[in-house]
Amino acid sequence: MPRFLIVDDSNTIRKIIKASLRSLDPTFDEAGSGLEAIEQLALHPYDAITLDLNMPDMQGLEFLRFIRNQHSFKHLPVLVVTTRADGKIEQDVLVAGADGYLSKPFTPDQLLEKMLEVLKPR
Amino acid sequence: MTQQFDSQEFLQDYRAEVADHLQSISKHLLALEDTLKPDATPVMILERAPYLEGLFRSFHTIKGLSGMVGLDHAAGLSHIVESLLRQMLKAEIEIDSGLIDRLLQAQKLLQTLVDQLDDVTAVSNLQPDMSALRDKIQMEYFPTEQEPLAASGSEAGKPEAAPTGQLPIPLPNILADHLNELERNKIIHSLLEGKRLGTAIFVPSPEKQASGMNVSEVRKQLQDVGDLIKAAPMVSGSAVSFIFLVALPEGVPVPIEDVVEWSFPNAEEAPAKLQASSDPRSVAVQQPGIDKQPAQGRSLRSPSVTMVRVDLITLEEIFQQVSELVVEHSRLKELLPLLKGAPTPALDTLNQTTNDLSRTLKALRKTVMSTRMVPLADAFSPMPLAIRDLARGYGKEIQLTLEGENTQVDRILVERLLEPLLHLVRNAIAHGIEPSDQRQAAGKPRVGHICISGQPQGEWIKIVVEDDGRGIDMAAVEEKARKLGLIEKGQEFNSSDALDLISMPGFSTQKDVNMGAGRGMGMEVVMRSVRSMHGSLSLQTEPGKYTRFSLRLPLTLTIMNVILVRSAGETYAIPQTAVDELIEIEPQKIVTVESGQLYPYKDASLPLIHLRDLFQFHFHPPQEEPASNRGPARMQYALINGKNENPLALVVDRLLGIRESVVRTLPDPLVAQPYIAGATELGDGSLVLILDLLALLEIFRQRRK
Repeated sequence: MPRFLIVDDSNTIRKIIKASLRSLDPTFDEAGSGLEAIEQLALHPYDAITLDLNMPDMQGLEFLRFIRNQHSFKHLPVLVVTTRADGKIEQDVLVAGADGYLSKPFTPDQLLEKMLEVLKPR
Repeated sequence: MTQQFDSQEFLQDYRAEVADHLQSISKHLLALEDTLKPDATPVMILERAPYLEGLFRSFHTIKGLSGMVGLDHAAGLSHIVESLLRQMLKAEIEIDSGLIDRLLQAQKLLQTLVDQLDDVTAVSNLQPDMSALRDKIQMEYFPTEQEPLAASGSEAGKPEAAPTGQLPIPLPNILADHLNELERNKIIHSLLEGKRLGTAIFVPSPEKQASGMNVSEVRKQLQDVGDLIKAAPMVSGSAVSFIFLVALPEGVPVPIEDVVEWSFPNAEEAPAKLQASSDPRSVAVQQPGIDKQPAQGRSLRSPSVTMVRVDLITLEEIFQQVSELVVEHSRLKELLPLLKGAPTPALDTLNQTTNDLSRTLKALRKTVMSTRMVPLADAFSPMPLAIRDLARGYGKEIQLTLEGENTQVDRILVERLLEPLLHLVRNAIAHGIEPSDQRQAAGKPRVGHICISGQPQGEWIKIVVEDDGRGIDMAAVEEKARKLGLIEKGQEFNSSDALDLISMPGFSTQKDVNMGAGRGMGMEVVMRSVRSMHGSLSLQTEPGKYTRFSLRLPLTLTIMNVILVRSAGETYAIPQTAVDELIEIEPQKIVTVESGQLYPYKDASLPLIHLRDLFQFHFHPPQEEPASNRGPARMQYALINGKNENPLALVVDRLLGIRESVVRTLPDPLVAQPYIAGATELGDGSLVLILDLLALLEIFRQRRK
C-alpha cells in the first residue's frame, strides 16, 4: 500500500487529487504549505508526493531545490501538479528535479497515469 | 477514455474555499486602496507588496479551482486578473483607483458566482459579464497582446533576495543570506519600534506532531505574539529543523519556550548600531513613530495554515451524534430511579458511572460547540466593501468603525446576520447619513460615520448599527401611522411602535423610493431574520443626531434552555430566553373584555392569550384532563414576554420544567410555520415542538386587530 503526501494549499484540490488516486489504494497525508511538507517528509517515509507550485510560505521550485539538495529525498518521486500551461514552467520544474508535471485542470485519469509514470522504478 | 470529474461532488468545497479567498481579496484590495491616499506613509506604500502577493495568490488559486470544476469563465477572468497583478508586482503598471475598481468588479462577479452556484441558469447568465470584464481588462491593460502572458506565478510576487547589505544585527547565515528587501526593512523597522528580534529553532518529531505541535502550529503561536519575519527549513545531516525570525514587542514573554530553542542576537545594542547603518534602502523607514498600521487598523495577518478545514456536513454530523448522546444519556438517567431495590453496590456504581458520563458529555458538548463558534469578524468582513460601494452609489462620504469583531458566535448566526446587517447599513447610508454639504451646513463633520459593534452579554450578543445621520423623524412616522389608522386616537406612541411600523411591509415615509429601496422593505427583512434567530430588535433615534438599531441575539442557536409546558393535553417547548417572567394565574381573577382577557398584575392589566386557543383545537381535551375537572380553582400559568413595554402573557395548563435541549430545525415547508421554531426530543424519545413565543404573540396581536 503506497503512502503519498499531497502538497497543495487548496483543500478542494487535495480532495480531488485523493479522489483521483483512490484506485491505487494508498494512505494519504496532506500538507498545506511548503514548511509543513518538509516536516512531513522528515517524519514519515513516502512513496511519492504531489506538489503545487504556488504556496503561502515557500514557492514550489524553492521547495523542490531544497529537497533535491537533501540526500534522503534525492530520489523521492515528485509529481508537480499546478495551475498553468506554460511550456517554460514545465521545463523549469523538470530541471529543478521534478519527475513529472501535470497542469490543472486535469482529469482523474491523467493524474493517475502521471502518478504511475512517476512511480515506475528507473 | 477520459473520465471526467463529477464536479458537483466538489462544488461545495469550491464554494467554501473561493468564498474565503474572495473575503481576503476584498480585505487586501481595500488596504491597497488606502495606500493610494495622498496621506499614505512610505511604509504603507512599502506594504503594498504583501497585499499584492496575497491578491495574486488568491486569484491564482481561484483560477486553478475554477478550471478543475469546469467554471471556465471564472477561470478566464481570474487568469487575466492574475496577469494584471503580476504586472503590478513587477511595478510595470501604475496602481491607481481605476485599476482597483477593475479588481473589485472581478471580486464582485466571482462573489455573485459563488453565491448563486446552485442555480445553473444564474451561473450561465453570469458568463457574459465575466467575459465582458475579462475583455475590458484585456483592452485596457494588454491591448497589444492576443492573450495576456501566462502568469508565471511560481516566481512572481517574491521579491528576489537582496544582495547582502549590512544588517544592524547579526543573524545566522541561513536567514541573512535569504532575506529580501521587505524582510530587511521589517527587521529595521522592528528594531526602531523597540522590538526584540529573536530566532526560534523548531525540531519536529512524531511525538510533537501527534500532540498537535507541528511547524504550522509553531508558526501560528509565534505570529500570535509577534511579527514573524522569516521562516526557513534547515538541514544538518539527515535531521530537519525550522528556523523562525520573530520580532517580539517589548514586555511580551518569550512564547513556547518548551517547544523551540530561542536565541536573541544582541538586541539591546541594535538600535544604536542602526543609526550608523548606511544602507540607503532603509532610509524610507528610518523615521521612528511612523504609523505602521494600515488605515483603520485592519489586520491583515494571513490565515493560519494549521487550521484544518472540516466539511460542514461532517461537523453537523458530529454535532447530531453528540446530540443523540445527550438524549440517550438523559434516557438512562430517567431509568435510574426505577431501579430501586436493585443490589446497592451495583446501583451505586451505575449512579457513579452515569454521573461521570454526564460530566464527560458536558465537556464533549462544549468542545463540539466551540467548533461551531466563529469570530463575529466573519459577519463584519463584507461591510467595508459594501459600505464603500453604497457610499459611492449615493455620493456620500462615510467612515466605518467596527468593534468587538473577536466575539465568538455560532457560525449559523454569522450566516444569518449578514442579510439584516446589510439592510441596516444600506438604510443608514441611503436615509440616515446626509450629503456632505448638508452635514456641513448643520455643523456636523462632512464625513458621515457608521459604527457596527458587537458586545457579548452573557448568553447573548448585542449588535449595534449606529449612524450619525439625520435620525428617524418620529413625528412623520406617527403622522403616517395615524393617517393609515394604524394607531388609535389617544393611544400613545413610542419608539417600539415606530419600529413595528417601519418594519411593516410597504410602510415608508419616504416621498420617493430610491436605489436600495425605502426603509420599509429592508426593515421587514431585518425584523424577520432577527425573530428567526430568537432575538429582538430595538430602535433609538434622535432627529438630526443619530439612528441606532440594536439587535439582541442568543450566542448559539442550536442548544437552548426550553420551558416545557402542557396545554390541551399536548406538550410544547418554549425557549427560556423569550420568557421574562413566569406567574401563576388564578382563573377567577381573569377579566374578560371586548378585545380579550386581562389579568391584574403589578398594578396593571396584563393581556392574556391561551395557547389552546391559538392552535384552535377542535377536539376535546384528552381524558387525563377533562375540562370539568379543571374547575375554576385550578391554577394555570402564564409566561410573560416584554417586561416593561407591552407585556403579553401566554397561558398554559401546566409547567413541566426547564430542559436543556437540542433544537432540530424543521425545514419541510409543510410544517414550517412562523411560530414553530423547531422540534426537540425529550428524554423518553418523544418529540415536542418548540414554539417561537414572539411570533405567537405577533399572531395574537394581529388577530386582536
